[in-house]
Amino acid sequence: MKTSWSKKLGSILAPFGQPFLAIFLALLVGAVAIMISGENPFKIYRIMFNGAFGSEYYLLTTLTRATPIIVTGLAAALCWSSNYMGIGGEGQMIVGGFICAVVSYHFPGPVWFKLLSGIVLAIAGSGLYSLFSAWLLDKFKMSLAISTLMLNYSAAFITMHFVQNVFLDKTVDAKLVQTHLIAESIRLPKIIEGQRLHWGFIIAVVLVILTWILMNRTTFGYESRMNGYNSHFCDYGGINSKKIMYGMLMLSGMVCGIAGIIEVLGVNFRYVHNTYVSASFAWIGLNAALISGYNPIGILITSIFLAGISTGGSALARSTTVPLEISSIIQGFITLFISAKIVIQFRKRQVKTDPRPLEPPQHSNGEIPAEGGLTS
Amino acid sequence: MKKMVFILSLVLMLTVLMTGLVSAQDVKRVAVILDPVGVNPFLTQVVEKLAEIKESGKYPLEFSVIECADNAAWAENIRASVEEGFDLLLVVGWQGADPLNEVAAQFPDRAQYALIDTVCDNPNVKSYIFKPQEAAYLIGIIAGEVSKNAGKPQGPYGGVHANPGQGSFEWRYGYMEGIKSVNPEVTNEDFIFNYTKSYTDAPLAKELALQQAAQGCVFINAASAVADFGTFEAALEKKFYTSGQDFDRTSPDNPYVITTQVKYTGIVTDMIIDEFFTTGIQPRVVSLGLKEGVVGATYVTDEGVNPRNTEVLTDEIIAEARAAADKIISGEIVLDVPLEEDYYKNP
Repeated sequence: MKTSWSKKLGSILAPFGQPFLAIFLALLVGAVAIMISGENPFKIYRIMFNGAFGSEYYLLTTLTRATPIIVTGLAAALCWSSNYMGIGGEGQMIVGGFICAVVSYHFPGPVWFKLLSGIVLAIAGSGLYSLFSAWLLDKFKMSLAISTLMLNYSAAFITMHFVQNVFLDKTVDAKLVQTHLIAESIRLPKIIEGQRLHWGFIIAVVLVILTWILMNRTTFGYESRMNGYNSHFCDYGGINSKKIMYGMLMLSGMVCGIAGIIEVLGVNFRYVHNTYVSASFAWIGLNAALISGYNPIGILITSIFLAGISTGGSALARSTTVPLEISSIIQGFITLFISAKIVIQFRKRQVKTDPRPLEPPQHSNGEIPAEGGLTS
Repeated sequence: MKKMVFILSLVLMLTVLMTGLVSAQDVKRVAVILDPVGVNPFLTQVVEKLAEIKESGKYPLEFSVIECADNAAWAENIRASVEEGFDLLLVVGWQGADPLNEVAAQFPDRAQYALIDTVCDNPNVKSYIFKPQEAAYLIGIIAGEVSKNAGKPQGPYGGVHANPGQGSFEWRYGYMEGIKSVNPEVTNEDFIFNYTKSYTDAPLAKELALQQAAQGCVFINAASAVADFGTFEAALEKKFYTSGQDFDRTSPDNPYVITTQVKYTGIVTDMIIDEFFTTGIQPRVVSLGLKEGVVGATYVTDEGVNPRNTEVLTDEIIAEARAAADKIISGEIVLDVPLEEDYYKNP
């Protein structure tokens, strides 16, 4: 009886082992960097922890920063768990935020209509933007990693052009590349008055639940997960992998669009060029998805932790002379150690399926299949 | 005797205690919130001035340099600085305008607020903006004359700047108007501007400057902060003339950097700290130009750190630029920056 319980507990805790190890090792490397800069790592980590979670204000600030990370993390989990490794979350978030800000301000009609139009068009726009990558993969076998990465830059510069030349807010000194402020009545209300945390966090939590249900309790989620394990097997079993590719990439884009909408309606109240790129929300979100093994609940927790590293890093800047980059070092090493996990898993899978593990699988005509890995 | 010693000890203890209390109460905490400082002179001048004031003991102040790692960190740091009890929030950079507006509206009495380099539309914030177009006009006069003396009065005239758009148009506007004042035949078509879209990408600035030199530019205006070092390197290689930005960038090792469009953020910092300790920050918008001595051109409005390259930057050119500076200060020349799109519609 005892053995079965311990086995159960072990199986529950097993998925957390590697992420915790990665985080622990990253903190260890961070400690070395702190010691090199002449400070006590325990003291610095205590300041970081207090600056991230030490009071109501700090905790709510961390949750505010975590909100777009959670949402983009969910979007990454959706497509990566189906074996479509898109890295275009940033571009899709930019498209969503930009459309929402512009439509919510410029559309004619009553305020509720402006807001509704802004949200619907932003979600549709970011979904279509992601769908474009899927189409490029389907029709031209263009690497999803490359197309989505390039489309991030396209989104940033196309929106910059439109903001600068068409939708620029010239009411102050017109020096800032930003759209007009949206009306106060359509902004997301604060959860606690006087604090920064807004209802976007609740939306993010609802999305976590919906994503979990989609991935674990629906046929589409099951099929996409199976596709993630082995797309050839799915095709053989009658599952339309093309439908999954289009569906998952579009859904992922739409979710990233929601992240952009939340930032516009809850934090900036306008689209400000370079804000999402500079804060790396989508990349940290992808990091959270990888650390948590695409588990939505895990993404929620990990995103808060990663946001805490950033807000804790800012607290360091306010109270010590330790370089600001310390939080970037820790985040970078977490990514590195998590990547090590992915490479190990990839090699294990190859060993299981092919006695020659280092050679890529090939079709009978010698071509390397387009699906799978970073080439999909 | 014992009684005397006891009383004296008590007085001494109380004095020490009171002195400690008073000094602890009087020391004001200043939060300087800005981009990562690095070697950007626009920011280093602010930090160095605060260190100088603290060192001199002119005012009892403690200051924290709070660098913002990304755009989202501005809002967090500004709000947190109020939460952590700083007395003065000195925000340097346009990214701080919106978050400062929100915090100053929410907590008008918990701190005093000053913003450098853009306007915050809030009755509790004092905004300091510059008129770089006035200094750029002087650089334009130098560029126009240097190019004319090199046999190319019509240009083309180059510029490697950080960002396109209205936000940085004041630099280009002043520069173009200064050149046109030397040679009215020059049109907007005679200018080549390229952008690094970064304040630190010196290799890109160098490539852009080399391309402009290949197109025949005798003078290339560098205005991309630290990335200007790329333009300077290109100038040394291809022997065109250039100007630096923010802080005197002339050097005995590079005679092609003949002047600098200076912006003394240290002077503004001094003004803010003075006002904070004397009357308290008086919220309004202050525009600073040649008249206030906050912007200028090396060898025109100041003497410069290094000897002037008199072969190129002759006494006549300096005299002409100084006369223009006097006219700007007296109001005879007015440089109101128009919208870029309107300016290009009317060459």
